Amino acid sequence: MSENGNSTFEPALSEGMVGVIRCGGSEKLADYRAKGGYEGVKRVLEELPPAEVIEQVKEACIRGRGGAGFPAGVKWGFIPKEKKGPHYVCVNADESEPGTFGNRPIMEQRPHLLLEGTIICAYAVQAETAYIYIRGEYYDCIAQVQAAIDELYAAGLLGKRILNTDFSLDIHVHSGAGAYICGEETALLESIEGKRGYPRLRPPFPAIEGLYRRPTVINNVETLACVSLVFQKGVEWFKSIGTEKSPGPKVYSISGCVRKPGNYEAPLGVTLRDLLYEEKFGGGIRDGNKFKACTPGGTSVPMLFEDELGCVMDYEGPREYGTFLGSTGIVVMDETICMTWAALNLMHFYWDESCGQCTPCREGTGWMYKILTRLERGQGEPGEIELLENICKNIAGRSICALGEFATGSLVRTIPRFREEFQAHIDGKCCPFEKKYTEFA
Amino acid sequence: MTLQIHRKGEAARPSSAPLAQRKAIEIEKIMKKYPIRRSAVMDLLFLVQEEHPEGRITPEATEEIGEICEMTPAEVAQMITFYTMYHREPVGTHVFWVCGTLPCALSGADGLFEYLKEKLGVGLDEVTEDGLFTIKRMECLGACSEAPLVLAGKKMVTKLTRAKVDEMIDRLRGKKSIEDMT
Amino acid sequence: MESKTLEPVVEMVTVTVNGVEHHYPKGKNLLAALLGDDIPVPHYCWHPKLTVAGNCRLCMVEMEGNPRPGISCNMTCTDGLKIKTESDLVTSCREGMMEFLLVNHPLDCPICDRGGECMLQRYSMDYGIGTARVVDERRRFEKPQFDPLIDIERNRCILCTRCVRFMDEVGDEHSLAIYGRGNRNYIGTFGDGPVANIFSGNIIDICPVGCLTSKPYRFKARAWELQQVVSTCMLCSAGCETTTWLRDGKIMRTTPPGRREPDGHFTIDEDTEKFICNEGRFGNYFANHEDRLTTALRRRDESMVVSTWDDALDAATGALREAADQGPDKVAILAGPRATNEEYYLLSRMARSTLGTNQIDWRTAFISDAAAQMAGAALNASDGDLDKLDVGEYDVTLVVNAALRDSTPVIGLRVKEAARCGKTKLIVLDSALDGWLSDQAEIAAVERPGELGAVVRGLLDALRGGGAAVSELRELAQIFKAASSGLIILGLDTAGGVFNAELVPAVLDLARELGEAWDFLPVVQARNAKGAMACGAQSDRLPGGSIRGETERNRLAEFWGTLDASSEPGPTAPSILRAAARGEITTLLLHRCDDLIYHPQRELIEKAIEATPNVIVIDVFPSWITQAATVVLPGAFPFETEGSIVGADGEMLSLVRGNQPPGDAQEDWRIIQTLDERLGSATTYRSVGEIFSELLVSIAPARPFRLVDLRLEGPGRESPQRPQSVFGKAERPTFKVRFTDRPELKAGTSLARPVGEGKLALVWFYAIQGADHLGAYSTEFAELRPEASIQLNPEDARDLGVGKGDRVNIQGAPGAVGPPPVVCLNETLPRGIARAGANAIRLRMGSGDADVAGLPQIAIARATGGEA
Ligand SMILES: Cc1cc2nc3c(=O)[nH]c(=O)nc-3n(C[C@H](O)[C@H](O)[C@H](O)COP(=O)(O)O)c2cc1C
Ligand code: SF4
Ligand code: FES
Repeated sequence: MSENGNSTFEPALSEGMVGVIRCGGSEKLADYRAKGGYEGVKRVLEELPPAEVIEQVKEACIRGRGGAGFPAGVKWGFIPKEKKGPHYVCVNADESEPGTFGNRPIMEQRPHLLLEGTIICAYAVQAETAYIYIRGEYYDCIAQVQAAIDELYAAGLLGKRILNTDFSLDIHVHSGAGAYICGEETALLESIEGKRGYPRLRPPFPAIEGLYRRPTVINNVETLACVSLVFQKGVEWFKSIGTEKSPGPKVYSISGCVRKPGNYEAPLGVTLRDLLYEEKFGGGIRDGNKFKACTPGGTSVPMLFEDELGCVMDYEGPREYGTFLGSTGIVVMDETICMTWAALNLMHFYWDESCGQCTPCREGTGWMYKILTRLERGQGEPGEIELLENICKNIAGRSICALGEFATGSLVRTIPRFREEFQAHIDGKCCPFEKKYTEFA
Repeated sequence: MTLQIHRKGEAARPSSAPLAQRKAIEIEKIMKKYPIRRSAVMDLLFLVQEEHPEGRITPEATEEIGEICEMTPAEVAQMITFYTMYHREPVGTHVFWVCGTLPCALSGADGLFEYLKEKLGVGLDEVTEDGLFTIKRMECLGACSEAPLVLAGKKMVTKLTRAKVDEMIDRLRGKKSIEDMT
Repeated sequence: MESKTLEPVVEMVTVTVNGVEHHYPKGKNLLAALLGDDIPVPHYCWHPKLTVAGNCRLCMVEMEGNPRPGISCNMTCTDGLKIKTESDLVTSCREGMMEFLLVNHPLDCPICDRGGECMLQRYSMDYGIGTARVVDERRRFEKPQFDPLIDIERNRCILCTRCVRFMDEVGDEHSLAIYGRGNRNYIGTFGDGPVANIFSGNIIDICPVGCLTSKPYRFKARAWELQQVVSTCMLCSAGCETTTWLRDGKIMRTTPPGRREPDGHFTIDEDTEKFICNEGRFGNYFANHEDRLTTALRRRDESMVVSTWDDALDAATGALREAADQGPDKVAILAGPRATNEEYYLLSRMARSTLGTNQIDWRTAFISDAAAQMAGAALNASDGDLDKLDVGEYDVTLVVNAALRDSTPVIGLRVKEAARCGKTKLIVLDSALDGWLSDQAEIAAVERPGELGAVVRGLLDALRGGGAAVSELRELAQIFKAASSGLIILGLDTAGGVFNAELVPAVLDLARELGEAWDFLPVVQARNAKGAMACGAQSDRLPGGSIRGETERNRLAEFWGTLDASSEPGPTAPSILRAAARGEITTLLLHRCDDLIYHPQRELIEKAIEATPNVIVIDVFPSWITQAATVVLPGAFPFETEGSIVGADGEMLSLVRGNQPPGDAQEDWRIIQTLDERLGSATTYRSVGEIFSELLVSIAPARPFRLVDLRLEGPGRESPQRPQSVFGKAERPTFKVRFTDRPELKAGTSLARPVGEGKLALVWFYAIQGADHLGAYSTEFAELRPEASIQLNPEDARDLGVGKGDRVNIQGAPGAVGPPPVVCLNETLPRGIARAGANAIRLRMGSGDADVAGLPQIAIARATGGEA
């Protein structure tokens, strides 16, 4: 961490961004170009064959920012080289993971950073159409991204024969309509096809049969923003940030019981403690309370606890504790928070957002939601905490997509750690916590 | 001989549904984005929902959209019930989408719900008597650091307090814009 | 043209299952392979005929070297694959999944119609944990109106989506969908309306639980108290195998064959690959109807009175003898469309040998001599084989003027399925597209009905290298030329010579031009038309061949003792009826009058019956014809009799008896045999098997069919088991009958009759749904059948001031049936033409004295109120 010169780190993704939501305009094409924007596209289109682009992305080792951390270059490499019909690029801008809000300001305030990466990606995999799937609730993002696309068409950076090369590309915005599951890449494809967001079985994989059953690359907004940076500033620059296996900058979203919630850009590999306590980041726990638990990567991954604050926040670090970097949405809970209540709140989310296609997730989330509801009210039955653990086991790894397993994220590490707290609800027939956090000023 | 030929996968003739005529330009623009008509269904659902006085998608509209997108009404209707931003039941002129997921809940979302319900005199998903407001519970709206918050129509209003909620509602009742509220 | 290898080379791979090596075809679905090998793998969502959904997660297997289990339904057999279907991991998966499925499933087995035949019950026993850990309340849904035939109980649904996929992929209706999201998901239709598809009944069988059940069967019986008869459906010529479930001689339900359990019983097979249509499933209840003829009747002055069999038979034989003595043209036998081969054979023997006449014919539905001739010619030329279609041996399938879904639904389904799976390239040529079969067509061509023949001729020209006027025809010709094999399916309109006059000869010429590798399959309304033809119930044919054939005559003379009838073909049924109407016939034997009761030329039939002194009727229900007869002999229904029939594609199928005919009614073959005996016939048969053996030998040299798993012996009544095959599986004949003794075909009449102001020309097609009088007797079903419809071009509809869904009255030559039909718009329909099925409109074509010169004309007006 220290080698990366935490103090000398200059935000590149969030350069010029203010806060999470900014009313009014976003970075204009001219301003973006003035900072070297679209130089990457120009260089790529004029100088590099697609295969070379993929090579460089592989070399930069850009890991997917959407959650799984899969290297983008390797993913692009799966697209058949021989083209027998259309190829597609889909940008995953469905950001709906609780506690995750890093894509929003990129789209709202720096849409060109995303679009440049999208053009480069489309060129590399020989796609002529790209869809940006933005969750429907992000009205401002939809407007700003669309405005930026219009600018690009006007400037000859999109459409037929971009920059007078043989490469043509159309980018369209597809608006979601309120479904977390559409962030799952194959559900996203179904949704664009005009269907319910039901994740698909794999195989076939999207690289072979994706959108409209054609080869398709799906990348997260931030992943593609990183692609732009790599081709603007160079592979070496990108690799000089972060750790060896997880290079580059990352936007961490911090929320919950911290003094200064918000998006913070830092090199991959920063420690959780730094993110929570450093003044330039989270600034410590609010009201001077003690830290209790947090989600390192959105609420879908198992939580980290007080003695684990040293966790290195790159793609490898959290794995040592049996959890994941995920979407780097860090939701912080302090000592006043009842973990049963938190688990219940999250189970409501997964119960509500499960697509309902497959048995374990549909029935498991519903069942656990019912149990937790009773448990939190003090109406749990003896043995039900173990039953919950058993249900988690029966879901994990057996559902079609990862949502099933995500639903167990709030329980798998939390129950063993706070078993007494859960048990107290059953034994005392009520919640032992005083609920201050529900107060509304 | 006037042999009429139809080929597999050929685009159907333009629909004669009233919606197709009324919104011809918009529909044309949406259709252009996609290689198949069905892909346009989500945009079209928003289109009819926004134009409807009760902010909802009626069975008739469902059938019309089906005709335009080459889907059966059942296929369109199942979309409406899957995506939470579509309504089959009437909603108020202004819909308050309130986030209730953990980060917001840690910052008073439950209290916000109670306050809104009390102030407007309605429960979740109901329409106020004057037809102006509906409160809906949403899952994480992706602005957790600004909690508690509400998506009022298309406008995010964040870091809510009782005073801010009062102002927002007063303004909307008075037909004033909330665009400048943050 | 290159010849195709018939046996595709299949690479076999080694898959290790539970440590044992198995060899499966490469790329085969793993679950299908395991099940085919009797390795049990529980599964709900996977169905052999539907796409893989992979949502129940029950079919999980352990893969060696992988800590995560995988679903076998989404795996294919690859070499070296090592899996376990029995292991701790697999057991825990199954137990977990079964528990999840029961979280919301109500415990209402005792009142559930599926009790005892439920996959959930079965798997709970086999794979469940046995104890319930769920204490919370179950999810509950309101019960909606839903479908008139199918009951829905959403609380029981396990959301496997089999029904949804069936309606999407097989029914192609897209009327069922999953609504809601997540744990609140439920299946339903738009606005809780009907599922509305002729195949919808199949979702009852493939539903693994009691969510979708049969309304007509609701609360009627428990599966285990029923007697099962596996036989052949006689409602159309597709000849589907069905199981009829009886209790106390009454039909409770009809289903596809079912799965055979170790104890010999059948249960509903949720994985059935044999789908049947709703008519076959629900339309059989007529046999239960109390109006059945149960006694013999004789005319006494103005009315028919009950008679003893003896008296009735005496009267009948007397009349037949008297007429035969007057000369061979004074006596005639008209055989109905629904008889068995054995009945046709016996009738043929009675006519040819005992009565010495060639006036025997089955073509009662056809309205002119030319139409009947052409039907005979088309059938005679038929050699198409639907099994070949199923396995993809036809490169191209051309469907001409055949409303397959409506007339022979399961044939339609097989064609559609083959096209959908890329096993054949489908070309449709019709006067309008149905949007069902035509959706799968590579090219669908629409032409005004009168000119379909000209289109085929144009195609023929293009094939021969002539310059076809229309470029599309040249394109089609290219497709035909490029194909190494193909099938032509032609719909033979019963309503007439109207189309057939030009179309049939043109299509026959086309088939001939395309050569040996192309097969031809005419589709007729009559259920056993091919059997009737093969068994000599056709005026120009003897059992086994042409009426002129020396060998045939000698062979039959040997079997029958004598063969008195001349070697000149007799008249067709339409001609016989005209002769009767002129008073030229003394005695008419009508065996099963199905087609005469609603015949388009009602006046002609009335006159024929009135002018004939003796009319002997063998039938099962009273009708205006039995009222007008002189003697009525009560017969039996398919599942009350044994016998064989020939399916549309020449497959010999068996009928199994499961029930006694009611009252004094007798099996038809016995009635005919007794009549013949009393008339002095030389030989007597003691069983259907005996007739069948002789029939086989008689028709063998020319049999245009193949034998499959025939089992004639043994009524289903005593044992619920599928009776053993008596004849075994016979070899497929190595030769086919092609275009032999084709009668000269007259050039047809033009249809270019101008349509009057405000009138539409009516294209009438046979629709199985409630089209004949039996439909009305199927009381459980009669009211529940979908509404009949009439198709109009949208612009015509607008001009007439009617819209989609409006009810309309029809005025003009045809008479409407039931409530006024509902308008549906079909933009492929040429202007000025309306299309309606036999279930919406009964054609009235006058007395039949004059030749019908064109399409009947109708006027249409919006119906006010509900009255016709
Ligand atoms: C239930 C579920 C929700 C997901 N939501 C998102 C999301 O909102 N945004 C996102 O980028 N990826 C999401 N993902 C991950 C995507 O499936 C996919 O891995 C990602 O878009 C790949 O892009 P990347 O390689 O650039 O990260 C989700 C996955 C699952 C299983
Ligand atoms: S795991 Fe959940 S969200 Fe994913 S497919 Fe299954 S039901 Fe849908
Ligand atoms: S049968 Fe394989 S998941 Fe249902």
